[in-house]
Amino acid sequence: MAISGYGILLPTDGSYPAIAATVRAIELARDRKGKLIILKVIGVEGAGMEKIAEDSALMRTAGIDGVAYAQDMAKKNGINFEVVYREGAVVGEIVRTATEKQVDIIVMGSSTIKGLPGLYLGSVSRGVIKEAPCDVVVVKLTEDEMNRAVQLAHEIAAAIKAPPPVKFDISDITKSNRFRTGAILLAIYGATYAIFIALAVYSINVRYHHQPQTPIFSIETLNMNVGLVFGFAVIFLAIVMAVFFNWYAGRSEKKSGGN
Amino acid sequence: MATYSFQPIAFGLFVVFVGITIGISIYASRRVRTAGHYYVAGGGVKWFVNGIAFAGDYLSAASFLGIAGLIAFSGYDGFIYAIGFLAGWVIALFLIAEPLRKIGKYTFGDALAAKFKDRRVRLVASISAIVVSVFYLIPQMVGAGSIVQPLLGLSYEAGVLIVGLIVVLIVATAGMVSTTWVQFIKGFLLIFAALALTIGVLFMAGFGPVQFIGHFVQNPVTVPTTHGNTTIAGDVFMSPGVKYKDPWDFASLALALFLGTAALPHILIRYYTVPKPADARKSTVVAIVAIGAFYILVLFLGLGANLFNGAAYSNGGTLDPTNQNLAAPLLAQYVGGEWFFALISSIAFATILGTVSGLIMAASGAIAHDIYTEYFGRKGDDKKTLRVSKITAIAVGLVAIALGIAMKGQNVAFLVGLAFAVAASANLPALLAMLFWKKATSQGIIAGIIVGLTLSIGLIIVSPTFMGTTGEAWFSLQNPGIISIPASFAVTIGVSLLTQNSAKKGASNVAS
Repeated sequence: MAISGYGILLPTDGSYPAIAATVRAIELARDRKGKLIILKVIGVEGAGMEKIAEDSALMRTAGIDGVAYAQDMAKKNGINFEVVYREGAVVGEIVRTATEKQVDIIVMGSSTIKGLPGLYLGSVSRGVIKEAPCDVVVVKLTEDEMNRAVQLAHEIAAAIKAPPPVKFDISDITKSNRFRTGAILLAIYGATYAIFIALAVYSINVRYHHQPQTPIFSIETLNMNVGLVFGFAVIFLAIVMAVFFNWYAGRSEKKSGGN
Repeated sequence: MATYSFQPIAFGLFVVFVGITIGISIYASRRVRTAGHYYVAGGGVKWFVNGIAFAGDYLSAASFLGIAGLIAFSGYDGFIYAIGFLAGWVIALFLIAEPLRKIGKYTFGDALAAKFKDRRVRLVASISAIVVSVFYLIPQMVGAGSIVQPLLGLSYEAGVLIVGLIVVLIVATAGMVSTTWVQFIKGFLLIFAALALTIGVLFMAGFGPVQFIGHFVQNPVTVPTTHGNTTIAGDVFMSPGVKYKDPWDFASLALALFLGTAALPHILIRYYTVPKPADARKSTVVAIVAIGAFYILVLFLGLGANLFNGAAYSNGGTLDPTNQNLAAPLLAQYVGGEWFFALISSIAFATILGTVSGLIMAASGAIAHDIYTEYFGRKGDDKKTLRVSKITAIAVGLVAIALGIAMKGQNVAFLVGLAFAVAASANLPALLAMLFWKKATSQGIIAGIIVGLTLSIGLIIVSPTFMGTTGEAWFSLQNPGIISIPASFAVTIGVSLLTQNSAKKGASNVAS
C-alpha cells in the first residue's frame, strides 16, 4: 500500500488509447484525491514505437507526447503528480514501476490486437494484467469522451515538440558478458568451420592431384568416414552452442535484473 | 525416365494450402493499417513463432529440393552445402541478432541512418538490399517453374506466374503479418515432412541411421546420368570432390555461405518483428535448432533417393537425371505412395511461397520505406505510405515473375550460392562496421557496399557460368566470394580511415 494516499500509475505512450486512459486516471485522481505517477517507457523502441504508430493510425492522427499531455491535464485539475521515465521492455517496466512505487491501481489504454493475429502479436495490457501486483484498469472510453480527449490532445499537441530521435547506442549489449562469451563461441566455431573447409579442400586436392594418397576425409571411422563425422560435428556444434548461449544469456539477464 | 502428368491430389492439396494462406492474409489485412504493421507485423511477433518463421524464410526450394538432389547425385558435396548454409547462422546469433534489434525500425537502412547522418548511406544500402533480394528471387522463381511441370502437370511459365501472383496477393494484403504466417506454417510442415520421410526411408531400408550412412561409405554407389548409369566407389561418393573439382572454387563457396547468411536482407528484416533484443536472440536459437535438424534429415532424404532409385525403377525411379530437384518428391512417392508424393509436392510449393514472400517484403521495404519515404522524404499519412508499400510489393512481384521466366533452365542451388556471395560482399562489411567499429565513416560504408556489390556481380558476369567454359572466362572461379568479400572489407576499412577528418568535421557541424 502506498504510504501517502491513493497511488495511480498511468503508463502512456501518446497513443489514443493512452490518452483515453489519461482522461480516466485524471478523473480517478481527482475523485480519490490520489497521486498520479505518469510513466513513459523508452528504450526497447520496437514495441513502444510500433504501438504509437499503430494506435495513432487507427485513430488517423499523429502521435503526441503522452507525458506532456498527462502533465497538462494534471496541472489543470490540481492533481499531485510525478513523472517517471524508464528504459526497457514495456510490460516489464510498467510492472516494475508499479511494484517500486507501491501504487494501488494501474490505469492504461487497451490496444489489444484481436482475433487470429492476436494469438501471436503481443498485447501490453494483457501482459500487465497478468503480471501486475495491484488492480489494473484497462480503459475503454465512449465515443463522446474519446472525441473530447482527441480535441484536447490536438490543442496541446501543437505546443509540444516531437520526442527526440532514438540514440545509436548498443553498448549495453556489446559490453555485456554474454556478448563477450558469444564472440568467443563464434571464434571457436569459425575456427572449426575453417579447419573443416581446409581439410575438405585438401581432400579434393589429393583426389585430383595426388592420387595414390588417401584423402583425410575418406579415412573410415565410426562406421562412416572422417568427413561425415566432422560434418555432423560442425552441425551439432552450431546447435549445442546456440542452446548453451541462450541458456547462459538468459541467466545473466536475470542476474542483472534486465528483461 | 519418369513421366509426369497432371496430379489431381497434389494439385488439390496445393489449392487447400494456398486457400488457407490467402484466407489468413485477407483476415489479417483488416488489422494492418500502418506501415509498422505492414513492415514488421507491429514488432510484436513471439520469439518462437519468429524462430520457426526464420526457418521457413531461410529453407528455400534450394535447401529442400536442391540439396536433397545434390546429395542424391553428388553425395558428400551436397552435404557440404547443408553444413555451409547452417554455419552462417552462428554469425547471426553471436554478432547480429541483439544489436541489430536494438537499433533501426523496419530495415537495415534505418539502422545505418541512425548512426550516420548521411542520407546517401541509406540510399546505397537500400539499393544493395534490392539487388541482393532480386538475385535471390531469381532461383526461387526458376525453382517454382521447374517443379510445377512434373508435380502439378502445368507448364514452366504457368508455375512461375502462379507462384508470383499468389505471393503478390499474400504480401500486398497484409505484408509481414501474412508473410510471418506463411513462413511459420511452412517451416513446421517442412520439418515434419522431412522427419516423416526420413523415418520412412530408414524403415524401408531396414537400417539404423549410422548403419544407413555407413552402407554408402562401404558399397559402390550408382548414379544415373542422362547417358545412363555410372558407378562410383562408396568412399569416393561420400567424400568431397564429386561435384567440386577446383579447391579454390569450393573454398570460395564455403566462405560465401558462412558470411552470406547474416547479410541477407530478407533474414535481417525478420529481426525487427520481435519486441526486444532478447527475443531476437531466442528466435535465432530456435532457427538454428530447426534448420540444423532439417539439414541432418536432408542427408537421409538425398541418400534415400539414391538407394531406392533401382528398386523403384519400374515406376520411373526416384532419381531423374534431367531434373535433380525432384529427388525428394519422387522418394516420397516410393516411400508413401501417391498421397505422400502429393503432400511433399505441395509442401515444396509452400516452401517457395514462404521464401519468395520474405524476399519481396525485403525488396519492397527497401524501395517504399528507405527510398521513397525516407530518402525522398515523402512522409505522407500512414494510409498513403501503406498504399505505396503495397504497390511496390506488386511491382517487385511482377519483376520477379518476368525474371523467373527469362532465366528458365538455370541451376537453382548454384544461383543461391551466388546470391550468398553478393550478400556477403555487399552487406556484411557495412553491417559489422556499423555495429562494432567506431571509426567507420559513411564514406567507408558507401564505398564498401558499392565495391562489394559491383565486384561480386562483375566477377559473376565474367565467370565460367556466363562466359562459357573455364578456359574462355576472364575469371576462373564460379563463385566470386573469395575475392569480392575481402575486397569489400578492405575498402570499407581503408576508405573509413582515409575519411576520418571529414567525418569529424561533419560531426562537429552537426553539434554546432
